[in-house]
Amino acid sequence: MDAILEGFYQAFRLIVTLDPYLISVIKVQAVVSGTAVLMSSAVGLPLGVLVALNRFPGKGFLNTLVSTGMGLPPVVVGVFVYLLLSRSGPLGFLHLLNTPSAMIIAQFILATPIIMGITIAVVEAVPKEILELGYTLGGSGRDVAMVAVRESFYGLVTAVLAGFGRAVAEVGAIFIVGGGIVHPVLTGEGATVQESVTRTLTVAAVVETRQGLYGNAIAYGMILVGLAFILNFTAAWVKGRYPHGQTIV
Amino acid sequence: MDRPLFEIRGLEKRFGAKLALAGIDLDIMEGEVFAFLGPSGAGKTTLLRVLNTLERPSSGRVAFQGVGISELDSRGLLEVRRRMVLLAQGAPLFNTTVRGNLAYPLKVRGIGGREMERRVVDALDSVGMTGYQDRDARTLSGGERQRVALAMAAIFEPRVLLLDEPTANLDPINEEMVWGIIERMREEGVTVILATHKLAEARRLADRIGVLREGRMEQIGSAREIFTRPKTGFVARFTKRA
Repeated sequence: MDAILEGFYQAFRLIVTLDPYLISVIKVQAVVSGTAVLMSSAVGLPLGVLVALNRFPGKGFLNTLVSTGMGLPPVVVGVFVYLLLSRSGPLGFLHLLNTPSAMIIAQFILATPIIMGITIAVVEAVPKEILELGYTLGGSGRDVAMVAVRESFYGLVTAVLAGFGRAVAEVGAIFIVGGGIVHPVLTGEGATVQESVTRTLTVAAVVETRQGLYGNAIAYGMILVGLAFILNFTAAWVKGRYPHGQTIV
Repeated sequence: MDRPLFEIRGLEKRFGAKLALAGIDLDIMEGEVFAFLGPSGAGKTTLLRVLNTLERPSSGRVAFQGVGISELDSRGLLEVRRRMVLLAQGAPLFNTTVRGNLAYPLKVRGIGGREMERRVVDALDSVGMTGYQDRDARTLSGGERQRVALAMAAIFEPRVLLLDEPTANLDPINEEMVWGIIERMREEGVTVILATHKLAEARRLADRIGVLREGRMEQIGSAREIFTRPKTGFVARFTKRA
């Protein structure tokens, strides 16, 4: 019990004093997950809208593939990306293994099907008569796609937040391809501190719990829970701020 | 009223094994009000959707101003569609403000700014809804929705107005208002084609009526002919309800 209380005390201390190591871990997490989700959104949102609004052979199969992708085990993705990027792998010449770029690739693979799958679901839920109204009032295919986006705006925000949630919460893939690396750096006062290279909040929580650094692990947990709260708060705010869905017209 | 706006020849529309429209031959003249009259499932809505290019004919020919709709590419179809508007049953509206709804047909035609705002105000005035710009479209009553839909249709001055059961589920006061708006648009030279199962509506608004039954045109004629000289037993039975 004492260890847990001590852990909470340590966690608060690390957060309140803006511990440089903790900040470096948060930075890596933000860069990796933020970049991955931006890329996933850039691919998943338009592709999802395109799939939802069009009929084509193999659409059912594609939907099944996307649904399967939504449930991909992170470890499987980690192993797959590791094999691709390892020295003997087809992309080994890029020397990306154990870098934030490899972690971004892994999280991109994990987040894209989630963003795309939710996008397909929310855009397909837009009533057909609303889309037809877009056509019959003189809209082109692109105009009607924008109608679909506006009508499902809240759902699309939820899709991106869900993708971000997935990226932030996973540990298996980025641990395998990133390695959870830290390196020592000299401070201005001549002291040596650890700085994260490929260690995110989740990876750090796993590694440092094993090392008995419960205060650190609890601090990471509190930040992750705080992030989850911020994501949900953002979703609720968007729903309240844009009750009409449409924000452009 | 001297040249056909729509020329329909041997039109068939199938949905799988179901024949929704069978052998429709019809000319609709510029400036007239034409009503498709018939019971539910007669093919009225499908015919409106074919005219609006939302559905492609399975066979036969539909020409708008002499140009076959089936022969047009997507750009040509868009050009044709931009000269008309189909208001579906129940007057669906976008999930936004009344202004947002009225702005859509203008924005897709590149009209914005002050001109758009002026047209929004004028269109709302014309349907008796002055000052409704900022109302949430979802909070409108059925009659108000229908009037906003008509304003949305009129705002870009279409050549053709296609209406699917425009007064379904409306009370007599709102029904009268909607009829008044349609009559005014007709006076402005808009060709109005409506689908209805209401005999009084067809009789009041239409120059000519086409009675549909199970996808086939039973009779085409003036309102007077349809109601006083029915050519088939079905038309006689259907119009007897008046």
